[in-house]
Amino acid sequence: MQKSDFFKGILRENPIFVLLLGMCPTLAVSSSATNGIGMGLAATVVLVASNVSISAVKALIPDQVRIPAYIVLIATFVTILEYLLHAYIPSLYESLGIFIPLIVVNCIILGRAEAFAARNKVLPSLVDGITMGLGFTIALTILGSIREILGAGAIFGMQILPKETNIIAFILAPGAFVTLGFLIAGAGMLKNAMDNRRKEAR
Amino acid sequence: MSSEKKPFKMPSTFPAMFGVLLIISLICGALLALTYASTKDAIASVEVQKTKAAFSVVLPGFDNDPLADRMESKTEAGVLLYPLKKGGELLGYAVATFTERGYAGRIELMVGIDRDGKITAYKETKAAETPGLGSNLASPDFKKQFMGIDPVSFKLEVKKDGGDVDAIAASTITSRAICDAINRAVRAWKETVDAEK
Repeated sequence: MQKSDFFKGILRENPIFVLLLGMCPTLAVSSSATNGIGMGLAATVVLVASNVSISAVKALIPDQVRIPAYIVLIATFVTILEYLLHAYIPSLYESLGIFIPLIVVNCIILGRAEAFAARNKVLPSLVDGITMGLGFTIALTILGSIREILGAGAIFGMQILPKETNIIAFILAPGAFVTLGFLIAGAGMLKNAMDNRRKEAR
Repeated sequence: MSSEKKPFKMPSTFPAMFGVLLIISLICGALLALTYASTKDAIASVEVQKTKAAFSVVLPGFDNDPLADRMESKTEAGVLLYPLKKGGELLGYAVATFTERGYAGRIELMVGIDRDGKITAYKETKAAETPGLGSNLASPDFKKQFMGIDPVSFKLEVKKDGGDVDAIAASTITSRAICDAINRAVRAWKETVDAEK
């Protein structure tokens, strides 16, 4: 494993800005910074559990039934997470609401299971889960913060702008798409700049 | 030509596929049952805490155990009424009501109704409306118009529908849903109070 494997999920292979996975929950849950972080962390927990367990048993799952097998495992982890959140972090459980069960169909989880965990050993899969989850959380938090600041004049629930400056479109679907589009373009530009600098250094 | 040993991979034969899926399902089922059993009490206690906190918000100053005196509404299915008493005297009812017409689905409220049938306040116990919009159902600015009103004279519909309720800006659906929930609570309260006469 190289150092880059730890950081690839943050920019170079960011699941939202580059791999374009998990768009549905991204657009729906990123209306505030707190929701963004909460969803990101919850999904990360499931992603790591799923990557590690699928990598551990990959030899025992016949190819033809791998998708149903992965989905049963992922759904189980999400449900366990839901029980744990409800019992021990009820405030997060309430604010994420229906989006916790929707983590099951978050394509990042199934996508990394199929593209990475099914073909790599347990430790690299663990690292992959952590870095992808981290990238997802960072992306959701940035997206949520921008939408919350522009749309509600607040960040993490704290009011910082007067109500008159609120552009409600940013809390709704159109704002989500527009903000996401700009962030994807920005991430692309950043990636190109970093690649160019690396080429010049050679 | 050297022959490399291929790592073992379960073949996709019918018995293997059937067996593996069966075993995975059984193991996952067991894990879920275990988690359910070990979190059941904590979850029940979280829900009770939420209900108790709601009582204190809508009708503070009671000294009985409203949970023990819980009543189910006969005409409004799913609505629960908790009498709140101080020194044996009835202060009012905390009515656990709901609506299915929220923008994001079901919203549950605890509505306080005093002895004279006036609404004291409400506390949302379950709501996942859009942050910044429908979520303002929790804001004091929206709630204060309901405090102390008499549902007989104050029409519990949004102004757009001919009522007296000032809806949340750009959140008419949520506002209508709150009216629906409070109206349901008032109907259940009326039926209970009339039955006790």
